[in-house]
Amino acid sequence: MREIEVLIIGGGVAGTTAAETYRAGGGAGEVVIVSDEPHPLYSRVLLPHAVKGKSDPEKVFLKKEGFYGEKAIETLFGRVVTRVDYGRRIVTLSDGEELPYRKLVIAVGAKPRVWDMPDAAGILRLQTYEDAEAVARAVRPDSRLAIVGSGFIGLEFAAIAVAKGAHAVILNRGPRFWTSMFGEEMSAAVQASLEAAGVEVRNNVRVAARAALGVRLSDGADIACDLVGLGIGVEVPTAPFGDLRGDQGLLADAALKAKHAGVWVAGDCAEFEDLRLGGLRHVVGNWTNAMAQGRHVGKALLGEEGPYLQLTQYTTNVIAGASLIFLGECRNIRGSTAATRVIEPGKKIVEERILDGRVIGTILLNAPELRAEAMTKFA
Amino acid sequence: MSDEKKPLKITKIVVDRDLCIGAASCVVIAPNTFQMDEENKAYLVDIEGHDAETIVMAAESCPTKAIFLYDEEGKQVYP
Repeated sequence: MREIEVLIIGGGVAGTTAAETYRAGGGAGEVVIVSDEPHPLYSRVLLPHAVKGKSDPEKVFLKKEGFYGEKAIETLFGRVVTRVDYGRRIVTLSDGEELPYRKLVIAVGAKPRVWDMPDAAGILRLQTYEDAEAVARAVRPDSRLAIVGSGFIGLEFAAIAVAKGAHAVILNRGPRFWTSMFGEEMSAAVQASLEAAGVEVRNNVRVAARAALGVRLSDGADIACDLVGLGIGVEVPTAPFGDLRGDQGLLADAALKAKHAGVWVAGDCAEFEDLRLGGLRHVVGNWTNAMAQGRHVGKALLGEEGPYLQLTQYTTNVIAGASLIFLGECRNIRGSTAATRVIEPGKKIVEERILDGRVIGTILLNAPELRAEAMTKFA
Repeated sequence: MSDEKKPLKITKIVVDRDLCIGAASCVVIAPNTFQMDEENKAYLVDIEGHDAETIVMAAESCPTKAIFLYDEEGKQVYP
């Protein structure tokens, strides 16, 4: 019977990097990547850029089809995993095919949350290549885009509208901008940057219904729009992975190993113990971290085991005047407090998130020069 | 000429400012070699700030492939 030496579920940057690292280090045997997407590795980070017409859509592909053959990596693209039997070491696909493995890497990423409104034309998401194509086609200078959610994807939608000359309104459920992370000063400054760019921001609102030409809010107000951009967060698809399911993702230790023998978790789906943050268990969803974790697991597959020690950092600067750098875990998690330092009112602000007397997160607004200093506060 | 592989030495690094979108992954991986400027574009601070493996990792981590690496013979080694 066939036995796959390294089976990787997920063809994104974490899974692909794991496979590439394993091969680069001389790893032998069959290596197989299963991905529910039909494409070779592409850069999700570049999708908004391509949508704005700032880069060639083909440039988002980071690997050509030929890459996989050259590295002797078999790909099962467009295939869905439904079940993992960790005892028998078998992964089952939706068509019933069974893939026996010796080592398994779970790098399935996260999927956009399902919106509780019926799907319809004009509802846009921004995660996959196909999503980006749809956004590029739909958003025109005369479009009115209602953006549901005020997270990172909400900001990207706003920036796309600005770039295309369309009207955008952000519908934010919270009382102010980004309450899950920001203190009041930072919320106000980021909202002001959006408004200065021509983006309308409505706080404290929920979408109650979707009308033919717009949405009705919980306060009764109607927002006329022909497009709805969804940025309501992501969820890790945990169903096929049995008892690895954690509070936010799939459980792994500080070395990204799962509790079952021969299994690792990497990238946006990993709920791991972060030793850079005092062992805080969290999920990190950004490109650099996914790549670094993929590399870490690739090395572990070669026998180089050890804790994952990269401090997570994320940068976004799609809205003029709101350059944001996030280090560590910045969300307002239970038991944490925030310390705000306003360097220049409304412009340059630093916020530290503190848990049990330790800095676990830092947000820098328009202060890239403080990154190195901020990094020193993490153990 | 020996067949033995010489350790890689990076002697030239070019950051394409048009490609750079300020994701800063290079700064995360190799902060002694790359930093971000006022316009949120990456720039080179010290080619010897990290070993070649780390610099290659930083270049590979760039989601727009904006970092170009050259070896001693002037050969492009990445991307």
